[in-house]
Amino acid sequence: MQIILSAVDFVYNWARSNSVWPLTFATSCCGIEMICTSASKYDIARFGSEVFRATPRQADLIITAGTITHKMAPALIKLYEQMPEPKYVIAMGACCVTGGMYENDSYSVVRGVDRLIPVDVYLPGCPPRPEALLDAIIQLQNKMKTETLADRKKYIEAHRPKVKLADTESEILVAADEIEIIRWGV
Amino acid sequence: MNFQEIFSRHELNVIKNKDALGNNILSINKDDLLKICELLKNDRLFNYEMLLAVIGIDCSEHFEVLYSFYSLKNNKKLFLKTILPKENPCIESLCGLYSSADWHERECFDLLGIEFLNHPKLERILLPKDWVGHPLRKDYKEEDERLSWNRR
Repeated sequence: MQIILSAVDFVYNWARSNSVWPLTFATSCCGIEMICTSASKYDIARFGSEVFRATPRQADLIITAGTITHKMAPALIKLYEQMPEPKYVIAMGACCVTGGMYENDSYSVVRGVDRLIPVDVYLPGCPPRPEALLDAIIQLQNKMKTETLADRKKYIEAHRPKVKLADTESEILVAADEIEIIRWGV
Repeated sequence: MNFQEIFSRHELNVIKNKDALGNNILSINKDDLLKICELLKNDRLFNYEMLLAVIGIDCSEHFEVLYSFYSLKNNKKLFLKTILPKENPCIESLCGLYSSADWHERECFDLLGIEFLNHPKLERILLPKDWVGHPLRKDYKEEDERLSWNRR
């Protein structure tokens, strides 16, 4: 059984790791680097990730390129929840990793996207160069190649958002341990 | 006829400066604001019919409110500078004269806590309605328990 599964895993992981479709999600200047990476000079298509999808339903990677503010957080979680499994996250840029230059005393910025959703690859830089993003994608592909179908349940459990939307109508965020969070909707 | 003459004719105290681009900056008393703005808008010599921005500044010891005007007719910019005390800063609203002042003043109130008297709807514009404090003040400390998940 193990032998069959590892053979299936190899083909399965090879196939999906070489066609990672990212979601078009750019909230600030890192997005420009992401566009540059997908353009002809750096050409993300060499690694099979050239199809930037405009809908989360067709994407399996979200590159959170840019600062995540409190107002953007519900939208990000909604998009993340709408992505089909298996799904991956690259936290691109200093703002997404720790909050970056807003970390000290900003009132509006979420200090790192990993407070909202689980992150697979951290990519620091302000903003990171396109080569760095390509490297992050290769790292992610390497990570995908180590996964096995036997651990799928464990994997899905680890990829739940850390904060969930209270209900679909309102934009109130409720943390996993039920802290009441300020309503940021306009 | 220059600025000083017109203003002194109306018994208004104004100190004139120039910025690096040659725009006039008038430092005024905050009680004279409405009178001066009425003059600036309606006097055909000035004709500043556009209010570009209302900017609040926290200078630690006091607050400053900077109004920026533009005259389409003369293609000229003008800045008005008022100084407000640290305790209970309040100033007359310009909404009656310039409708663009509405949102600018609300933003200024939201982030710095400067009170604009006679404003039609002075409430928070960017932050949630139940937010505690005014975050762009120099002495602001975020102590809201609901944001504890986001602390360092």
